[in-house]
Amino acid sequence: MRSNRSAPGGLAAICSCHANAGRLPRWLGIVAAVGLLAVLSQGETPETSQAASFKIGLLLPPTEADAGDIRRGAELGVAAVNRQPGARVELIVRGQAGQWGSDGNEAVVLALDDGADALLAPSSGATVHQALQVAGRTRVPVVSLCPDTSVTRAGVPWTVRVASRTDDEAAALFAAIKQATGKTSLSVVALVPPERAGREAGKDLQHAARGANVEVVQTISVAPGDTHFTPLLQPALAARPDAILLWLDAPEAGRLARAVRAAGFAGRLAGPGGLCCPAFFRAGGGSVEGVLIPVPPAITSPGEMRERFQKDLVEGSPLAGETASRPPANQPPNLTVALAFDAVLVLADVLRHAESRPVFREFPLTRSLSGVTGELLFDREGNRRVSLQVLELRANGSVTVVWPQPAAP
Amino acid sequence: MKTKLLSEKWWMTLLTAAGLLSAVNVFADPPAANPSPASALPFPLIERFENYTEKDGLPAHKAHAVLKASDGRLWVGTYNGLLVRAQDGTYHRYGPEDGLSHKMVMCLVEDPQTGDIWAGTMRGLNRVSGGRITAYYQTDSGLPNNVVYGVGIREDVLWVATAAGAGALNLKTGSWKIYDHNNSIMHEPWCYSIACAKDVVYIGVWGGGIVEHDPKLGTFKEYRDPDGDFQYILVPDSGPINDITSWVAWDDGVLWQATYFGLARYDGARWRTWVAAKSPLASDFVNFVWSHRHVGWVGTDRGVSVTDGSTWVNYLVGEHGEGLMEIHRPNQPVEKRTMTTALPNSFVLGIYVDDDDVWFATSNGLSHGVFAPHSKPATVAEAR
Repeated sequence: MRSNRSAPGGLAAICSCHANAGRLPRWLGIVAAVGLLAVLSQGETPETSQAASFKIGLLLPPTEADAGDIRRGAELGVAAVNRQPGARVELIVRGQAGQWGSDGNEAVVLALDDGADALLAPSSGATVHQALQVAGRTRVPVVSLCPDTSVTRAGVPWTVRVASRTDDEAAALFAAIKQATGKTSLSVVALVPPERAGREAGKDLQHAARGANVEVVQTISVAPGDTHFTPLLQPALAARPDAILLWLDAPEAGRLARAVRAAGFAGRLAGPGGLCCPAFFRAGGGSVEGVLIPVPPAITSPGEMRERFQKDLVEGSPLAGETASRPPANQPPNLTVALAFDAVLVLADVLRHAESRPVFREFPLTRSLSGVTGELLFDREGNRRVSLQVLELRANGSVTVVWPQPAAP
Repeated sequence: MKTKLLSEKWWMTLLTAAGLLSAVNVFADPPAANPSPASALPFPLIERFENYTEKDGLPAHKAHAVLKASDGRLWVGTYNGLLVRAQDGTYHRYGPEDGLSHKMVMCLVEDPQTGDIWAGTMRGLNRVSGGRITAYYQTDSGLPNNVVYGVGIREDVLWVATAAGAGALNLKTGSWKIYDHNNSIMHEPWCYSIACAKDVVYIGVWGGGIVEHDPKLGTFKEYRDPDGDFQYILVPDSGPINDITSWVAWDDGVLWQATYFGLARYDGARWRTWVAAKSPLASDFVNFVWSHRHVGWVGTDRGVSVTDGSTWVNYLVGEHGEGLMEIHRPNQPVEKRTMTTALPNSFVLGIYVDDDDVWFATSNGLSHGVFAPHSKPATVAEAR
């Protein structure tokens, strides 16, 4: 069983063949050198062999509030990729509701049993971290939709996120609110989910606030399905904040928007880019009027790719509670669907480019791609490099860009 | 497609090997000039690597864990099963068809009292006893979660690090205890490694640093990165280097922490931290560390670093697959040597070290590091 291989492939015999060196013609050495270079160019044994198709594993617990949007975006992305020349992409979706750690089990099944060449992880930080743990040991690449800063701070080199970070989104919102109110400092209240998701969101919001002369006077956890908002909101309103941040899933944020306005709060409401979706408009009703959200500028800019995406999104089978009718002309596409779409573009590009090389060697990603949400470019830590704009929502579904202020005509 | 590629690669390899027979005078490295004696270092030097790959019978190119048992047999956790090599050189593979809970074996430990081998896999825990496997799953035992990243044994208790907490299996009673963020100090429930010390257990937590648990007292103590969320090391030598702990190892009072941002060591009184930019550490991405006689054997994505905290030796793989050795002595210039053999891959996932030799589990096979002549500690010689 023992061999003296000091490197894969062509170096196999180097160390044991000195004694016979002079017996063969020298021209064979030239041939060998060429062969050696060819073999070495393949690096190590591929962990994903070249194939006619690639598998993307979508880790998607059904309990994720935006699970339908993410799946829709990923499916649209796969369809778009497969319309282009190149190896086909197949989407495998797994996820189950369960106790802590279930997502790790599902990530293992995707990566090791289903043979997924890369994973697409959702917006939940807990789920993404479990995918990253599997990635740390297996080197399966992960593209995530999670805005928590902790995701890219895990240090797994073969991962990127296509969503903007929470602290970047908050910084854009703080700037927009300051501009709208004319104030140089702000006090805000943050409504966040309970447990880990709220803890991480709260931490990121605090971080953004520290750098922007903003005080987060209260961070309040809102349990899913909670309908007794009065005791929850009393301390928030008593603090008389300049703004309330609805850092919640879209349906929950919509319900809270209604409750906050019904309680008489007249200040600014703002939330993450994930609120750019029909679920928020449905849940919030007229209370979404004036809500501020940060989004990549491309999402509101007309373009061939965005129009095709919007057309496919509208003409595809509608999600539960949605109609297939065309949205208002200037209503931006569902951001979560668009991000999932772009995540598939990134993964497909990486997988196709890797060919027979191990996929993880493609990281850190340095190539730029065009996506529905704009240029898909990442820093060395895997964070999306994108400037944000802030939209003001209208109850009819339309939007206005309020920050940075559009240049005068 | 895969078959075709392998075939082409195989022919290319043959051609290359044959050609190199004639060209060796052109390509061969000159002999190392006057190498320093290994005895001048505080730990043994590796003089050559003996590599084992799929061609040699390994069931997968990827090896994740390696352990030499007290009976001399070598256990290898691979991407495709558990391999054991007897001292007579014969091999046996255990796979799912033999009752192994999952093909990918992540971690190994031997029960010093019974000689049983415990193997953690990506789906379940396994006990190999007398050639038979008993599998444990989260659904039919007290295993906290099926993804088992680490195993350790202390007295009569087997400890496991899983994706949803640490588990303790009393080997006498068969009862389980689970520790997670709900009933302990753990910041997150994701346990990524575990190391058993003399009186306590160290749990490497993904996102929670290191948790020290005293089973007798039932107490928990947390070691967290003092720099908090910053991935940069603001204050060196002040605590764990990061809260994402990829591995922990303990031996004779010295605790090592592997992270994806560098390496840390704690001797019970003082922390030391190392990052690649400011030390000889081969890479900040540290998969694994093995502690032996106060020396850390560190598996990274760019090879192996060996250190006692002052002297470092790195075993790297050069651009052309050649073996490179770097010796960093305090206050001396770096000594670089080209080796006649190299690690089969620079991504090192597991290490086993004793006074006789060292084994490496890598992304492209298993490697046996043969020590240069060195004087073994007196205690070992006496024991023999």
